[in-house]
Amino acid sequence: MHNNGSNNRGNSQNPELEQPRIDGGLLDDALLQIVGRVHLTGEDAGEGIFAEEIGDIRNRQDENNLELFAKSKRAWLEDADKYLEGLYGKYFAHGSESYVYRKNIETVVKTRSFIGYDTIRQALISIKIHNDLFPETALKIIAFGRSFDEFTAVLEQKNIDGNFAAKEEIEAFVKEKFKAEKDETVIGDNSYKTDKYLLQDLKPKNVLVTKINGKKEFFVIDGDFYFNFNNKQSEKKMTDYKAERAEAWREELRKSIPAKDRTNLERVEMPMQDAVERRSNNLEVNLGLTEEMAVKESHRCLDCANPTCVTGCPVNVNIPKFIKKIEAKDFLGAAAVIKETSTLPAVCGRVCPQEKQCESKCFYTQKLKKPAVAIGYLERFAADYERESGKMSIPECEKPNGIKVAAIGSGPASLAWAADMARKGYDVTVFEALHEIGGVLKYGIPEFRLPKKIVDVEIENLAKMGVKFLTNTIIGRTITLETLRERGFKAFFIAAGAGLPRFMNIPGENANGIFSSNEYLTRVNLMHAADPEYDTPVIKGKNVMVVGGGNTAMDSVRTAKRLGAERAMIVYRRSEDEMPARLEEVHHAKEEGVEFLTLNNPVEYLANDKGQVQQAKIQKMELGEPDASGRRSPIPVEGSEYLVDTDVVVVAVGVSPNPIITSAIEGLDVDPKRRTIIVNPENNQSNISDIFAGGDIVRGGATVILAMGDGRKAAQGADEYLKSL
Amino acid sequence: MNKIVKKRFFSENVVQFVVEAPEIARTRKAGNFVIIRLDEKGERVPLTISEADIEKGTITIVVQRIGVSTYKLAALNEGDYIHDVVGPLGHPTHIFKAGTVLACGGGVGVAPLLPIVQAFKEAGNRVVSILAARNKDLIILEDEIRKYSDEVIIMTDDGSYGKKGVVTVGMEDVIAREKVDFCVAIGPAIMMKFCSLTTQKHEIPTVVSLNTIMVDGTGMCGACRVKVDGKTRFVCVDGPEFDAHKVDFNEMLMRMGAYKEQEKEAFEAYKNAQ
Ligand SMILES: Cc1cc2nc3c(=O)[nH]c(=O)nc-3n(C[C@H](O)[C@H](O)[C@H](O)COP(=O)(O)OP(=O)(O)OC[C@H]3O[C@@H](n4cnc5c(N)ncnc54)[C@H](O)[C@@H]3O)c2cc1C
Ligand SMILES: Cc1cc2nc3c(=O)[nH]c(=O)nc-3n(C[C@H](O)[C@H](O)[C@H](O)COP(=O)(O)OP(=O)(O)OC[C@H]3O[C@@H](n4cnc5c(N)ncnc54)[C@H](O)[C@@H]3O)c2cc1C
Ligand code: SF4
Ligand code: FES
Repeated sequence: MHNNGSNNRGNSQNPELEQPRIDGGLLDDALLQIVGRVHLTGEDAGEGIFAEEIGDIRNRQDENNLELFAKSKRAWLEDADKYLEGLYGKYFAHGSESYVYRKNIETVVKTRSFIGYDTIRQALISIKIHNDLFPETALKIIAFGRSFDEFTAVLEQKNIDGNFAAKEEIEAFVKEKFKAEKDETVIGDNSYKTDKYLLQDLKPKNVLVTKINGKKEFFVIDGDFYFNFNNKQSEKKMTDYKAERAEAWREELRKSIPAKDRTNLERVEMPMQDAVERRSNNLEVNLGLTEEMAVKESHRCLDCANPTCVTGCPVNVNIPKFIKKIEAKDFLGAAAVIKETSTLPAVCGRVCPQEKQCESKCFYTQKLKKPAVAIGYLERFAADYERESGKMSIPECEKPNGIKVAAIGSGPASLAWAADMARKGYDVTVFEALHEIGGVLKYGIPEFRLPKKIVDVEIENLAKMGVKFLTNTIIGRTITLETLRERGFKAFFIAAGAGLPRFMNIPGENANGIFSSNEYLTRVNLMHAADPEYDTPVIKGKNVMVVGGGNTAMDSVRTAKRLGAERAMIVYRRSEDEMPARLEEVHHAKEEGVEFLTLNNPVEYLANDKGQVQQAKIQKMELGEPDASGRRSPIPVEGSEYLVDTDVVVVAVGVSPNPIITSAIEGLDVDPKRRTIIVNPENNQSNISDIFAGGDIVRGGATVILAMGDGRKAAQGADEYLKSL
Repeated sequence: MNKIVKKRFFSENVVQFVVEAPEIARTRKAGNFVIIRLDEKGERVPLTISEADIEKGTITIVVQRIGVSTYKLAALNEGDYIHDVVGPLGHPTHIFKAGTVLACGGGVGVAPLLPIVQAFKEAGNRVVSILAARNKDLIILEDEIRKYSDEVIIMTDDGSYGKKGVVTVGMEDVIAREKVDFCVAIGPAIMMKFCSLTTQKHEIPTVVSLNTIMVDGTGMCGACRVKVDGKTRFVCVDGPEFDAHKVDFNEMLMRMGAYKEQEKEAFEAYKNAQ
């Protein structure tokens, strides 16, 4: 590790006394170095225990010891100069320091644009500080690079006062470090048109574009330091969007209705089952738009020159194009456009958090301050139309090349990978541990939100493309990866998900009637426990309490209502604004009569002599002083404990990756704390060249669309790898 | 779909099945278990693999009828199919040279004990086995256990076979007469609890194989959780074998009763339908 030796900070033994300031005050003597790609310890966000997670990590002598951290949490928050949080995405904390980093800058930028910027800055500051005092820790932080999709390198800082290193120096540095091909290297100012929202949002002072290993890379050169973003969305693609927008049919449509008339239209309302009625059935709540509704909604879309919605979509679906196809009443065409980028549109149209993704970036939201175009509803409409038309196209596959490849797990990441690999002519087998194909789409997300038949149609289509499915097969147990290699499999995609439920480790939590959300939902969805025809039982509570604020919590509490709970409660330690669940699910839960006890947190469960839970002791929380990020953090109110009667408790406070597969593969690079597989963000390849990975096993609990995107990227990567052999 | 190739009654309520499962037969080790699902509507039932034949591609399970699923299973015949069999699950038993090993099996627990007895014997240990049951009819696999034991002691509650008394009586006898270095106990939770208390008194390291309620068996649900050494552990992935002296048996017993009412109701309905 580099140390410039001019460390003039006093008290350097105790970094907590000298918190780095957001303005980079400690950077005067900073020399930031590329240290390589290691990874940072951390945990995923969400589902109600974010602040604990921070403390947990900080005090994580013991993986399971949440209690310890819960106690120390306040100290943590008080000590911290700043901590960052958001509604959604990944957070990273580092052990002995008061920093929290968020993995998914994209989302941060979307929800709170300033955080994305500060996070990277803080990361760099922290690297610097650790560099001097705890070089090993610094190494871990840079690790970051690997967890951060976009952030892969930190360049040496030469000069702090706004003048940055000479272009030539940077060029030389980049060239050497990345073996960049020089003639492609250009340095532009920030007017450089990348259409990359990250760059726009970050407002960098300068941008360096260079070609590394044949791929364009952007280095943002800020006044203080430089860092590199992988350019996920190639520029070319954006130019394609522009060219397509210029096509005659689009021009014509745009002219057919004046923009003013379009913006005067009201956003369509999703027809749905009556709130009272639906509590007693398991049918899908949203009924879907009619053709008329869809076309009318498509009129609202302005077909913007700069379609910001596209940048909000993790896989960059060509949104305006598919919406305009709907306007032109070419519904099958619309579905085809979505399928250029998304493998499971009928699923994503239903479960994506659109209000945080595409719709949050819509011109209506951003500029007109009106409800966004209903992109999610329209996506669902196009996909459903195609499926119901019976004209669902089975993608054409290249001639079979006879090369055997295997996907491990059968969730959305694997399904996407299998589809792309089959299309490329590979002989694909999907291995699944459970007795059903689909991963969380089958065992987790309930029927009333995602009918199983929709997932089954996708699986049938894959089967028609030649993909083989083997259930009841645990790779690492039933068959080892090594055996698969011996049997001729040439590449692997591990997408085993994040199936390990977390508990809070509070007294009484093992009482009967207390379930993890995974157990509760698995019993009901996968094992059909509510159907008397099936053998698996579930305890139907009268007063059901669900702990957490994510999708899993909403699914559990709404399931409880459907199982006949008289009182169904969400207990969440923060306020409603912070809930990571999709907005629509929160609305639906409320309509169905779910009570929300926000700023409340269980601290103990009390059981009767049979061990059946009877009551929960709940502590109230209050929002503390706003911290540097402007967010108010929950702090327990001493002496505020009260008892709530409950006979079923569902703990939905997050999940971790399933260790069966990772522990069975020797030498696989796995984050020691998060237990996620570490991959190259470019192609999702692990450190073992024939193994690729994606979805929740790489990200921790994330989303369907990100899992699917990983599957596609890994298919591209595996194809390139196999062709290079 | 896994075919039943052989069925044998040990007693009215204890049945042995040899089932086709070539992949599992190849990779299983002593102490592993499988989860089976009888049909589309069945529940997932954990059962220990008591033997395996790699060449024939079969595994052997021994099941005791106690509720709906085990009755339905016991009613299947040679040539029938089990809808799903997944495994091998759980950590295999840690086999090592201890010296003298005391192996205690209660009821159907003798079945999972068999491969462990065999492995300890093959590792060069002196093995003393105690088989315990309510009565003579419920003593199973005696000949097989004898094959791998230096001595076998039979205990029955009613004295209809072997010595009269519970398993711990036999244990105390052995411990009084010779040095025991290691103990394995498998059987009903309550039996394991008392075996554990006995060896704890004599400071003999002991492992037990826990049979908590399970759903997936892959660490996904936490139904199987139990406190060991004050920490919540998942039996299916962290176990099923644990240091007996650290297991919270009272919590385990309590958790095993979670569905008592539903089980009883379901069983009555099943019986009435027969
Ligand atoms: C209740 C719930 C609600 C959710 N709601 C939403 C939502 O509304 N919107 C959204 O975007 N996301 C939601 N999510 C998150 C989303 O479902 C996941 O991010 C996504 O499914 C991850 O996909 P995956 O392919 O990585 O893994 P998974 O879907 O988890 O599938 C992994 C599969 O691998 C199998 N497996 C594991 N180990 C092995 C092995 N060794 N061998 C063979 N198979 C193995 C598992 O059994 C599992 O079936 C929700 C999650 C839950 C639990
Ligand atoms: C790792 C492990 C290995 C086992 N090995 C064997 C074996 O080799 N032979 C054998 O006969 N039994 C074995 N069992 C126990 C066996 O799984 C249960 O007896 C069976 O599930 C009971 O189902 P049932 O429907 O017949 O009875 P039920 O009426 O449902 O229940 C009767 C009893 O079985 C327990 N039980 C119920 N459901 C489950 C479940 N899903 N998992 C575990 N226990 C349950 C209950 O606590 C209750 O006490 C094992 C259990 C585990 C966890
Ligand atoms: S930003 Fe909104 S209005 Fe513009 S193209 Fe996208 S969906 Fe249509
Ligand atoms: S049985 Fe589900 S976690 Fe052990």
